[in-house]
This record gives sequence, C-alpha cells and structure tokens, in this order.
Amino acid sequence: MFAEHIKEDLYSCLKCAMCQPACPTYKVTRMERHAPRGRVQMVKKYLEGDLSISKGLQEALMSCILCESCAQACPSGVRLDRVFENMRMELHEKLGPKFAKRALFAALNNPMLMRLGARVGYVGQRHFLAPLNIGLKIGRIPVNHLPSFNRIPFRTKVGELIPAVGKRKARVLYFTGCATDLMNEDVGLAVLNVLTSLGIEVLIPRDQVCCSVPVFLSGARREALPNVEKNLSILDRDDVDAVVVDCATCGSGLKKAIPHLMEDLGLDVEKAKRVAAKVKDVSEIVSDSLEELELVSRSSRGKVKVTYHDPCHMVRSMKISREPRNLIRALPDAELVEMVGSDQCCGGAGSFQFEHVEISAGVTDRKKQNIRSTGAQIVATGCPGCNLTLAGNLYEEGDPRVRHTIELVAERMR
Amino acid sequence: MNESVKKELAAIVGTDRISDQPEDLAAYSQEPYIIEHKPDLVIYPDSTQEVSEIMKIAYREEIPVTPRGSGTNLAGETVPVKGGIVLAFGRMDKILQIDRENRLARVQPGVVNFDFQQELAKYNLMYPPDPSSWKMATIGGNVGTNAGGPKTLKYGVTRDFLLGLTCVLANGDVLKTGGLPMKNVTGYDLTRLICGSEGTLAVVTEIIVRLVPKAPASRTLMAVFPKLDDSSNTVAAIVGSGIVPAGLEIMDKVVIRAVEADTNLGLPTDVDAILLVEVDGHPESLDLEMKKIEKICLENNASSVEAARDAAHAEKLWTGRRAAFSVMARLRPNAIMEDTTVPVSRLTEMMKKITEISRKHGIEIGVVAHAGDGNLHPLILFDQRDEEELQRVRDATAEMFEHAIKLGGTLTGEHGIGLGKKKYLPLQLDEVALAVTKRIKESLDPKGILNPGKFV
Repeated sequence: MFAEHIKEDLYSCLKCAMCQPACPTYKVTRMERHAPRGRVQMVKKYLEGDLSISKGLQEALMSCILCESCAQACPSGVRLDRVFENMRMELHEKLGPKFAKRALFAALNNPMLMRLGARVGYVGQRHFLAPLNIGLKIGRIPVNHLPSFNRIPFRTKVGELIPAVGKRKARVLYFTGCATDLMNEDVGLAVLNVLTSLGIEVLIPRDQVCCSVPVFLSGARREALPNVEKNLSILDRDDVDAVVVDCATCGSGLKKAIPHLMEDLGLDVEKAKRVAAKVKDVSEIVSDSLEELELVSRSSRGKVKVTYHDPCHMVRSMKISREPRNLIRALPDAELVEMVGSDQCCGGAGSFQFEHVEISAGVTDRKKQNIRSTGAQIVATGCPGCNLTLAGNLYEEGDPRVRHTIELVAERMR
Repeated sequence: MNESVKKELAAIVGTDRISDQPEDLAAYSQEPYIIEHKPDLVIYPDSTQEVSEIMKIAYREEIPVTPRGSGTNLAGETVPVKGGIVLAFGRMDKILQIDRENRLARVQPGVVNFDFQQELAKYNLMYPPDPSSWKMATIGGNVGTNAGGPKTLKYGVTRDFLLGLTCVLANGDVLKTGGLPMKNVTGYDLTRLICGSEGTLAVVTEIIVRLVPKAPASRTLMAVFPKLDDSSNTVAAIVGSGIVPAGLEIMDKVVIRAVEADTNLGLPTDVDAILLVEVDGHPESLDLEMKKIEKICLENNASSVEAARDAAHAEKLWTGRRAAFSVMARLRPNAIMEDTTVPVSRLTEMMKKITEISRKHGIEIGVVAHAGDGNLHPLILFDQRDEEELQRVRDATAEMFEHAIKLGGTLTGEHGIGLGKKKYLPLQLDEVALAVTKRIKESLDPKGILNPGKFV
C-alpha cells in the first residue's frame, strides 16, 4: 500500500540532484539506482504503471539506508523518507521479505522468543565463540567484536520502579529498547544512575515490547502494528513528565516514524502524537540540568579527546545534535573534537550492513577515516546500532573506544 | 538493441557496470528538464580505453551515445531522446594530478566540482568556474556545457581554464587536444571547440585545467534598492569604476518576498531589488574597494547598505540569495530556472520586460541574476501536469528569448542549448553560422550518433 497523500510529493521533485551529494549510498557506487533522485523516479514510474515490481527495483529501494539526508537536502521539500517507506511497504506486500528477515521479524515481534535468543546468544558467546577465538565474521564485523548479551535482561534486573535520589522532582517513563534490555545493560544502568541523581523517578513498564522500527522500515508496516499499538497503550499516560529513550532508533520511531505510519495507514494518529510529544532522548533531559550534576575528572593525564558521531535517527529524525555535545563539554576531563561529517551515516543501519555489505563498507570506511583523523580516544554516540557498527569496525591498535554519551557522564559522577 | 551487441559491450566493462534493467533505464531517463526519455542501455565506464572500445561498437552499429556526469544540466542536454547508450561518468572520479608549481590539474570527467575545490583549497589554489550546481555537477559536465557561475564576472568561464582534453571520437579514435603548457597555439583550438558542445562532437574522458591562487580574503556587502533602475545603475557604476567584483548578484521583488516569507531574515519586502556584492583579494585593498562600492550604492539611492563584519555575517547576507531557488521551488510543483544574458546596460529593461511577460501570461516568475555580466535567471513556477499552464510557460519563455535577442542578448548565458533551446537557435545563429555548425558536426560525427537530437 502506498499512501495517497505522499504521492503528491513525487510531483514536487525538481530532479535537480541536490540530494545526490548528501546520499551515502550514491557516494559509494555513483550510480543513479543508488541515488535519491533515481529512486524517486523509479517510485514515480512504478506508480504511473511504467515500471513493475522486480528484484532489481527491490534492490534499489532496499539499498537505501533511510538516513534522511536526502529529505533534509531537498530544496523542494519532498519527503523522500516517507516516499521510500511507502514504497518498501509496497515491495514487501508484493515480494515478501527474505527468509533471514522473516526470522528477525518473528523474534522482534515476540518478546519471549527474543529473550530466549538472547539467552542462547549469551551462553553461546561465552562458552563457544570466545574460547574458540575463530576469525568468523558477520558482514564485516568479527563476531568477537559484536556486543555481548546481558546475563539477564536489564528490565528483569532493575525492576519496574526506580526511586529518585533525594526529593522527587520529576517522574519519567523509560522505554529501554531491546538493545539495552538484552545487550547494553551498562547503558541502562548509566541512564538510571544519572536520572535518579537528578531527582527523577524512573518507571520501566515490564510489558513494553520492541519499538518495531526495524520491522516497519523494512516495509512490514502492518506486521509491526501489534507491537506499535501495544507500546502506545503503555506509553500514553498522563502521570509521567516524559518518555525517555537511550536509543536514537526507538526515539525516532516514537517521535516521528510511528505517527507517520499511523497516518499513512489511515489509523488513529492522536495517541501516537500524544506519545511523540513526550519522547525525549536522555541527553535532552540531562543537558537541561547539567549544573546539578557534580562531575569529577577521571583522567590523571590531561584531557581525553572525545569525538561525537550523530546517529541519523538522532540528528535528522529527532533533530538533536546540541544536547549530547553539551554533555561531553561538561565532562571536566574531556575535550570535544569534531570530526568531518559527524552527521553522516556510519553505514550500519541495522541489518543493512549484513545485506548490502559492499555499499555499507564504503560508507563505513569514510566514517572510520573521519573518526581516526580526529585522534580521539573515545567516540561517543547515542544509538546502539551505530555503536555496534563503529565498535565492530574500529578495533585496530590505537582506534578509539565507542561509548554511549550517557555512560561518559555516569562514570564521572561523584 | 540486439542481445549480441549488448554481450559484446558487457565484455568490455564486465557485467557489473552495464545495465538494461528497467529501473536503471528509468533512473537515467531524467534530469532537471521537463522532457524524459529512456536509454536502451546504461554503461559506467572506468577508463578512456573502455570508452574507446564502446564507441567503436556504437559506431559500427550506429547506436546513439549520450555522455552524462551528474545529470544536473538544465536544458535537456543529457536526456537520451533517441535511446541508445547513456555513458554515466560518475565512477571516473579521480583527481589524477594537482601540480602546484605549474598551477594546473588533471582530472577525470566524473570528479565533482565541489570535491575538486575542497582538494585544491589544501594547496591554496582555486578553480574559478562555480556553477550553482557545483556541489553535485562534474567537471566533465562543466566542460560539456561550458559552465559559468557567480565568479565568472571576475575570472571567466570553464573554457577560460582549459589547457587540454582527452576525448574519444565517434569512431572510437582517441583525440588529445592542447596539453600542459600555459601558452599553446599549436593547431586549431580544438579544446575550445569541444568545450560547450554538449557531447555532440566527442566524449571527454580527461581534462587538464589551469588553476589560480586562492584569494587571501573576501568581503560582502548587501544594498537595498526601492527602485529597480537605481539597482542597475549601481551595477553599471560599480563595473565602470574599475572594480571587478568576484560576485554581483541581484534578486527582484518576487524573489525577495518569497525568501522573506520563508526565512524571516528581515529583508524589506516593499523594495524592487536587493544587490549583493562580493570582492576578493588582499585585505588592504578590499577595505578601499568596499568603501568605494558603499559610496556608489548610496549615490544611487540605496535605502540601506550593510557590509559584512566577518565571515559569519557575510554568510548570513548570502543566505537569502542561496535560498532563493529552494524557496521559490517549494511554491509550486515545478520550477524551471531559465537562463539568458543581455548587455549589462540593458539589464533593467530586461527585468521589467520579464515582469510584463509574467503578468501577460499569468505565470509566476521571479528573477535572480548575475548582474555584473547581465546573466539573468528567471525562475518560472508551474505544474507540468496542467497542459494549459505548460503552454503558457512555453509562450512566455519564447517571448522572453525574442526580447533578449532584440536587446543584443543571447539565448543562454551558461545553461546551454540541449533540447530546451534547440528550436530558438535560428534566432541567434544566422544561416552561415548554422551551416558551419552543421559541417563541423558532420565532419566529427558523420553517423550522427553523439548525443543526437541536440544542437543541430
């Protein structure tokens, strides 16, 4: 299904190509099939009946990272991200996803299955892969550089209500996302540590499920609805001041992509908009109260150079770039060094890096070079997807460590 | 195109760099111009040698070949109207040599102008042609269209910076024109014949360009004019004073209003024109030049003059001009940026005529112009699905060109002929000029396979 109200955008395309230099995939292949303008033309021709659904068309549309750089660059205001999301739904309905993706969707849609998978992963990593130390790679990432699974899920570990330290000033709902729940418990603990220290009570509803962004951005928009609707009913409540996320992808989904999805499918968009209005990245909340945190230096040998990578879903979808930098600047022992193209995609984009290995590698190599040129010891970012890609590709001697921005703050609290 | 020929071509480049998939053909059927047409085949060459081998087959089989850079040209130059092969040069994007001592560079045609400039800046050098599409347009495309840009006034256009070319002729022969020396009058000036020929005479595969030192500093000034005549008198006075600005841009009332409504920059909306002047050179002389320009503006009834304090302020002053196209484009589904040049002294007259034509045909037209060289870019807004409105656009455009020629102007200052202006060519070229043009085309491309349907 392709939403009628998005079709008009196709006729506002001036074909000027201002989207070209912004597009990470075009930079790699220099072919129009991997450029936004070329893809828009394909969608237009398909809708006009001049082009039929094919594997080739699928490749052209699915090799888009959905980084939104083109939509931002478009002088004519064409919402290319929404054009592509609608076209992916069309492709998904006509061709169906690949087998590997079907398995992934099944897991993301089913919390039990996912937690079981994480448990198997945890045991597998510790007892089989690590001792074997084999050079196995998934995509371009050596398996021993993939994030490890939590021993037990983060949400199970910390419970549903974490009280504020001292007098309660605010109350937030923490949407932990799957990455923190199953893999990055350190990030979750850092979020709790910082928020509660600021006098914020944190609620973590146990029954929250995957945001399903990876599912519906692949085109499986209807399949994502059960999760989406379940989350909306959990998150739409008056007794919290904000819905906090530590994952740019979850955040972009709740703030933007889910309202779009509901609108495109002709479903009730009001609830999604109410939730969207409350969504905040953890850096936004902390940036407002930095002076209340007593941060101390952890380095005994001068300042640590930190560079910041803007996740696509944070800088463009959520329009957040200043706040995470404020956090880094507030670290007494850190110096923020900007990289060239900090807002350019890391090439990961979830399963993209495993499905479009060559294009992804081209995009990632550029990012790697920009990061290395800064001479930073730490790359901070705010997205577990970017974290996985960057850490999975930066493992040479002298490469910086990849950290979530909030971890850097939490580590420096008195 | 028959399958055995496709196989033969695939053997040259390998199966990864050739496609007849419908989605690729759709993607290469377009550029900013209205008319679209699909090629039969897209090939992404990697070297002069490959292009030569491809051309040999195309020549034998009489297959049309349309070379293409980023496809940002505005007059339909790269639309393959006769089908055939599109040679997409995006992958030939290497800067082969930057020679600081001899101030020249050798590049492949797919190098993007902006990327090239970024690289040159590291050597304190500059390549002046800077078309507005410089962030995406390729040097190869710039050569094909003899591209200009805002810096043209001071420095010149693409052709003024070419030292030599490597081209592949229609029959596959490799032609080398010019060379590395700065001064070179050996033989006919084939370099400048090929430049601006829009791929109708040869396929350019390597380019040697002359470079200039990067100016150490620049200054910007914005002046507001309640009356259009005063703004163009100012332009004439600045040019007449002996100062050669690196940029001298004008925005008319329609554009100013649209920009202000969109950006809230604080531009006055009840004035006829805003002028932006940029000078570059040594800081000491710039201060003097700026004072002189400011004085000229005020003498010519500018209601306000604002000189940039620093680079950030200059950037702010340029914001409106840079946003003009985007802002206008968002008002209606389609926007064409037209292109015509008149003698600087006739600029006001032409701008007034455009306003008149816009009213007469009921078409929205705003004008931005590289005022210093009389190069106007009327921005025409419409919806191409409305056939009746499209016809009015065609009528208005035709009237605009006729008037420009009447004023001693030209059909196009920098966008080229392509499909858009082919039919107007006789307005400017007389029978003799057309006949010579035709003979040149026939001698270099006897079978008419190079970008057919364009020019003659």
